[in-house]
Amino acid sequence: MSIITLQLGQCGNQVGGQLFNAVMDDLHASPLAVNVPPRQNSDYIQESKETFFSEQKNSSVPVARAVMVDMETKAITQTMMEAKKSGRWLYPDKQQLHQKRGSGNNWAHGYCLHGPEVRESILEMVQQEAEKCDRLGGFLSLLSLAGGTGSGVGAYATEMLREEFPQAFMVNQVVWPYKTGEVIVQNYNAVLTLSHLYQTADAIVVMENDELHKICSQLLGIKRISFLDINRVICHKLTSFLQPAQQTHSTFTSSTQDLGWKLQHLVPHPEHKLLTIRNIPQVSERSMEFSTFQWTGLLKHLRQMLIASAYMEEGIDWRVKAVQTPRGSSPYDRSLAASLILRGKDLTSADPGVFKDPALFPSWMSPEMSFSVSTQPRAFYGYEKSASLISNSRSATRPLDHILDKAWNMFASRAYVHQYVRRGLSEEDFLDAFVTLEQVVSSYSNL
Amino acid sequence: MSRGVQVRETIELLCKIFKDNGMSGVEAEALRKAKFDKSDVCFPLWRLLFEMISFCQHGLMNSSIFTSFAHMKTEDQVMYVKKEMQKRGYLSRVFATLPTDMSTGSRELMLALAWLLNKEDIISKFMENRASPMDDDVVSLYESQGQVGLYFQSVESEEGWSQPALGDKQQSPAQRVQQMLVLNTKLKMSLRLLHSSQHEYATLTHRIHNSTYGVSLSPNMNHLTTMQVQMLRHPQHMKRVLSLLEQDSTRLEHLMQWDEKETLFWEWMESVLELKLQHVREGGDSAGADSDSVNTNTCATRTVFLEVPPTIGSDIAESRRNLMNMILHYESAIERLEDLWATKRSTVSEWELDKLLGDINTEISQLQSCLGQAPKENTVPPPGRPRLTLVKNKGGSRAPVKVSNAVAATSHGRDSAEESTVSVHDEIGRLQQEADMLEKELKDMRRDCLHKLNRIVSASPNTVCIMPPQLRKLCR
Repeated sequence: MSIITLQLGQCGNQVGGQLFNAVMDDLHASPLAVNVPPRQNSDYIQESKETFFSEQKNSSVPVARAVMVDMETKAITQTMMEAKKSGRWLYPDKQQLHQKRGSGNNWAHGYCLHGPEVRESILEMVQQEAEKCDRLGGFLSLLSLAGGTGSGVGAYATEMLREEFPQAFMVNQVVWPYKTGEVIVQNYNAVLTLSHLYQTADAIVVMENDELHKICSQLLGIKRISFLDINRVICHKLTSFLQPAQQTHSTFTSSTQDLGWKLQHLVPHPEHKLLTIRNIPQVSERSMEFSTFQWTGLLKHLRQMLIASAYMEEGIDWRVKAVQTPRGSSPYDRSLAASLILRGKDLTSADPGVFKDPALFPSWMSPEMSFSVSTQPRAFYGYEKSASLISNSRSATRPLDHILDKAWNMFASRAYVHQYVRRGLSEEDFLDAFVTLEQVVSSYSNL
Repeated sequence: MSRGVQVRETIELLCKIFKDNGMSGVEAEALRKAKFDKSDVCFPLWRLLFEMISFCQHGLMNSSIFTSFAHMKTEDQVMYVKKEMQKRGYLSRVFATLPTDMSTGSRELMLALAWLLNKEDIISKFMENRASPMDDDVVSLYESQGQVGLYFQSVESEEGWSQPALGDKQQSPAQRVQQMLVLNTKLKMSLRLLHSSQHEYATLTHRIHNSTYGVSLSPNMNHLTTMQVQMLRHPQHMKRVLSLLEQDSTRLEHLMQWDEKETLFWEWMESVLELKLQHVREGGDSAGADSDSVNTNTCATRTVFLEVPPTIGSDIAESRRNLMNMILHYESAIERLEDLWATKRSTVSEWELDKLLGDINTEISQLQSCLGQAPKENTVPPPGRPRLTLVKNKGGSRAPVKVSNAVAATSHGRDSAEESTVSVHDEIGRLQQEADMLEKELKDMRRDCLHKLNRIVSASPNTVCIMPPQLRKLCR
């Protein structure tokens, strides 16, 4: 099963570079540290490589299955340089599209103007990548919501891919900007992108810059946080989701590791497509030597993180309980579906029963259908035990709510709208976007 | 008596055949005891009947059949067999009154068994069920059957995967809608997964065919099949395949022997029937007259199992009334027709007669179908998996060719001119046309539904309908 990565915009390209780096780090982990016999290790490595990289004919350096798109050249060249420097992997030649003009942080510029221009070239590059795959598992698009290229061209590219590959699974990983972000129109960009993505993508994995920043500063103890650190955290989360793991009750092992299989479990409802990933533990390298973890503790924390909408194991609000108020409203976070992936040793002692609580999921989904567990005995990222929970829950709509408010306020006074209208959008498109996202927020609150 | 010996051999052959084809064994002795209506052999005969019926329904013997039989209570087993036999047309009253605790009636069971054997032509079905793995492209032929059984077991035994409370009365319509949406999306995604699996299958098969082009083990193809390549790589599997093939050939041998000796069996069955009729004539019900009050033929003390709809009494009365009304209604018309007929007879020509006959025949057949004869069960045969064969044209371009599996199975061994080979491109074109037609139909249906929705929305005053942008384009 192969996943083709589409790196869009500056943020997308940087995250993409880090993603392949992270996968390579995982695969090159010392065989002593991984905790599994060599044969299992090599199976894992083989499978993971097949997913993200393809073999080159002339050399043994694997080539990433990626297509890079940006309207400026800087990010792409930098990322490619870093890949080459690492010596362990490369980007394929001629799978990059870059122009010199940039999009000026304007969504309409990206979507209406750049999109159709670059459509043919992107399509051709993607087709080439798809032909190299034996079995196309799906597309992973990396983009940020604030800028112009990633968001505008990204939305256009997703629609185009959906037309060309109606049977493929599409996951978009999006980065919410900081609440006090640098770009004035980031709210418009975010609203427009998300509403378009909601129609075409199968799942949207949401990462908030603010939360990631907190993780970096509080858990990982990094003093001066750069985008590199934030990207590392993003990739840590993504790889914990995408790297191979087996479902326990299945005899068909290969098919359950398909991206499509995971998605049909997590996003079975067309109105609920937002996914969030929570990892535990996340500690800095210094403290890793001194920490040991037990599964019960990890899982308990993870559950509370889920209910209380927290993303870190510090500062969790333990007062939130999975109990409905007498009036029937649920003050905690409910999920449509969740998937728990356990990596590490002593897996038999891990009991995910705390998650099989019918209060966590809506009544019309049976808890068995909403919750699945996968395990992988190979240790991940140096943690002897680690767990990640991917959930389709209400917490993803909190940032959405804020941004919708702000964007609506701006739109009510038609601030900056003329910039967008000039490039080809109309006010009706804005209204459509608002309506779609309001609908999303309300369906999540009805969970 | 050499004839007696022959009969015995034939019966033993039948039992061997049953065992070969996966059914639980029945002793030849049991079948012969059944002729004389001994009661201890009832259970194996019920079981054999059950398995034969399941075989007819599913086409092959599966471990799930045995487990489901073991899980059913005795009563349920008996009821199920009776119901299925009646569905197939075995309307014997005596059979229907056999007791549910399987205590008596082995002669009846023997008759039912023989009837089923003949009606469903089970022997031919056994014959079709042979395996010839070497020509197949599917490598994990034997492993996958075992796994399928395991999968079903694990799905049943797991506490999970119980279906969400579909149709639970406590759910509001809104919740039901959500459930339907979820199931719909899951289904769509599973279909996509299936699509990519098929794609992968075709790619990999093509690769194997391509790389073994020029070498071949059978006259129809110019390359090796996946199975053959697998065998060559793992010669230790050959032993297993060899033993499986040997089993298969003994099974086929038995079936061929049966072909020759069949008549003896049917003559023996005639003797069983004779014996039964004799018994009946001598005044006893062959099912055993235990209760004293069985003097009547109304079976008031015995329960007859016959599935009839509960309104049968009123249905029959109503149909009778309808018939009488129709006759009265058309009586005058019929008289007129008779007069016309008398006058026409003298003046009609032969050609007109023939034409008339043809018209009448077509009308009769139409009316017959309207009368609603027992609807055949929807036995749509599963589409045969196409076999892919690589054929390189002389021009150097490759044109993989498709062979329909159903045809290949029966024409195995005959010359390949009878197989229907279709070029993949033609097949793709045909499927594309079908897909386009279906797409058009889908669009029309969608538009109709949208119009209906619009009408409903405009009729109710307090609702606002917000459509996703894609559908809005469709509406315009």
